[in-house]
Amino acid sequence: MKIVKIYELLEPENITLDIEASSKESLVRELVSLLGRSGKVKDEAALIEEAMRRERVGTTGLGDGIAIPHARTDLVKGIAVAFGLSRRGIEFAALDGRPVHVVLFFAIPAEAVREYLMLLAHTARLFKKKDFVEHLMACTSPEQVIATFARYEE
Amino acid sequence: MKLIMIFLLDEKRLDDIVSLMVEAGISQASILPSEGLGEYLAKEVPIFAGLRQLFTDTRSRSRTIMALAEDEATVQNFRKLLAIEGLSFTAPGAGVMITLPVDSIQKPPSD
Repeated sequence: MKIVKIYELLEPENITLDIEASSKESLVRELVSLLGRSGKVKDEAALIEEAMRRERVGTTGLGDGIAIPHARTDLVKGIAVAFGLSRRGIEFAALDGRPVHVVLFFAIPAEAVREYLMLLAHTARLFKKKDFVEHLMACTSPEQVIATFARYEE
Repeated sequence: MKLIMIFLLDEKRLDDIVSLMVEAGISQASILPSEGLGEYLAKEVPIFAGLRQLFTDTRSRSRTIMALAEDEATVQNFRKLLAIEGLSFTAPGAGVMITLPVDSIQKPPSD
């Protein structure tokens, strides 16, 4: 099975370099709204609720300013990925209690269990690399974000 | 289908290795606490007690991982990820990884 690559899934219209949200729920809403632009989301309100339900099971704020909110749900057609940066940081109830600056949101069809696990493991490994996160934070365009993912995923 | 067996000597590497397995597309595995032959002999079979000086007082925490990979490409994915993360089994003290062809399997169709 092919390893899922974020850069192959990200589109410039699904990326924001200046997240406006200041809370976890508003952040999820903002990123789901970005995903809606790609036409992959069947019901944005329901997807927000699914992602928030997942957050109630346990935070996806991994610490070190990183969060990977996600949902496994049939509310999306295929794997849908959005990315955002927040310079000032967002209160996210992360594992280390610190604000979140780098957020990758993804939603994946419910039956794609293996791809879901692969994507989670892949993103968690990527975001462990401090220089990768620093390079993401330095991006000034969505295209640079995609290129940065590509550089570390190839 | 392939069976991957890893005799992992350093338990600290376990989280990273199983995460890489999942990332490579391996979702069926069992992780067992285990003990090397030398350590078992030294501590459990009196005639080999002379080997005890080779081991610390506490039991080491090695693990054995048995995992099923769908095909050789999945095994290659896993090997590639191990190499990228510097977790290959060629380093001294890391343990051993072997792969074996599976010629028969019985399991529910959805697994």
